[in-house]
Amino acid sequence: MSQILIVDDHSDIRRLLSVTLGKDFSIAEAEDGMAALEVIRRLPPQLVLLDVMMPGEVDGLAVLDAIKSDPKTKSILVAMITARGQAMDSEEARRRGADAYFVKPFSPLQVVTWVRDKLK
Amino acid sequence: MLLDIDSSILDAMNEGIILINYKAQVIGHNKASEAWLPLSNAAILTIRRFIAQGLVGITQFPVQVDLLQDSNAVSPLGVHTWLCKNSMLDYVIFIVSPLQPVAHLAPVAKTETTDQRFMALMGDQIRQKIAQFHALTPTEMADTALKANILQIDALLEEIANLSVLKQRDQVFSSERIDINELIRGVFNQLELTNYHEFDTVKTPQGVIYGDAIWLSYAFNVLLAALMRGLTPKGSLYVKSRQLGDFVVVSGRSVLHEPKMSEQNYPSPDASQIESPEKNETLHLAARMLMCQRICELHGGFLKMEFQPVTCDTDVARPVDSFVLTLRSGLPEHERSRVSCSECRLNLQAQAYAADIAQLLSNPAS
Repeated sequence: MSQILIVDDHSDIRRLLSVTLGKDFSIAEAEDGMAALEVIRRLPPQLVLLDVMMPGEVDGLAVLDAIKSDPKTKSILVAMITARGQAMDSEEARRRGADAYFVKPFSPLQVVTWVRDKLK
Repeated sequence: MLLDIDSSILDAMNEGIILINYKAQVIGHNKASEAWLPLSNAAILTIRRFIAQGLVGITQFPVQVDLLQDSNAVSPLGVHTWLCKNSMLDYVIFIVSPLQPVAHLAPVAKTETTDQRFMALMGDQIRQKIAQFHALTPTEMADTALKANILQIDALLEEIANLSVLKQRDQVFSSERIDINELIRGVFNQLELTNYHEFDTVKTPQGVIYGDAIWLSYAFNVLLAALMRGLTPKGSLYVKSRQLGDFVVVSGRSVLHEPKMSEQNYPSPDASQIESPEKNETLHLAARMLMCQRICELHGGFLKMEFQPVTCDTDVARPVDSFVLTLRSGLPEHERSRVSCSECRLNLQAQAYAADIAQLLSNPAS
């Protein structure tokens, strides 16, 4: 079963995604960037659903940079899930290597469809 | 409507503000001044005379003007009307009364945007000064303290107008992803701080700040300029930034000068000290420091400053000896502190989820 890491400081969002995807995939959760990097080092997952703005010294874009700059993890698929909905934010994430960009409030169905398509 | 300034700042005030040009034509006003408009012909002639006299140095602003001359209206008891020269807004007439209650800030509404919060805080700066005006004793009212207060309000108004012009964009307060070290280096370059001045970052991972790069640049400009003011010719300036938990801590200090003196708030200029253009400049420095503090607060930051001891009686804006600014990293202040916003987003998210479920139920095959 493919492993998905959900990274968001809001527990409700983590729970929503976990419930939505938990039937088909193995789910790991992290509440901030530092915890996410630790889980990625330990597992690593096949796909990461990643919030952008999180408290602490490592935000979502810094996690994305860390994933995509390490040869061991650069093949991990990363979808950003964020409240930052401006085109320049999306372009910036894609420039850094994000594979998808969902703006909150997102359609869980769209996320599931995208994840299934990528991990089939 | 006031030019270049969000009218919501001043419309909530009980005090009247009328902006006029050099011909004494009204170019803007707030709601509280509507009863005083239009200006009578006699008042216009008097204002023109003051402006002409000010240009040749015969009149020193602020000066009291009688707006009700040549009209049947009776001036309300205790109302003062002052004409000020304002480099951003030409001329400003302040209509203030110690008998009127000071307009207080409304509590921050749950749905208030960051832009509105910013404007409310800027308005609060002016209202704080007006509150000081209301606290004056009758003796002080007739004395230089009154003039000093009017000048301070004028300086704040000018700073706000200056910042409003600086912004000129859709959002007053944006939420950008800011590398604070890069931003401070930019300010170092702007101020041409190269010789004898250092900017260090401790070699630990450092978080980004979500906030408004223009406002933060302004704040660091003010802080570094305040440090520079206190430097002796051989002095040095050190600025250091480091990550401490969820916060980025930026500290700055100038070295090689006399012993320092601790003070939490920026000292308020003394009425008797305000006379010359040089001293008026210090009023603007004090206004900038207040704005700087508010900008830091809007970023969830805490700014602590230590000032140099008073060296002479006329030094109303003492140079800063050191500062420590703590800013929350990784999450914008408004995202963290405004529960209502977070709840609102979760409601929208729940609606999106419900829409998906409805779609799935209507197409069981999928």
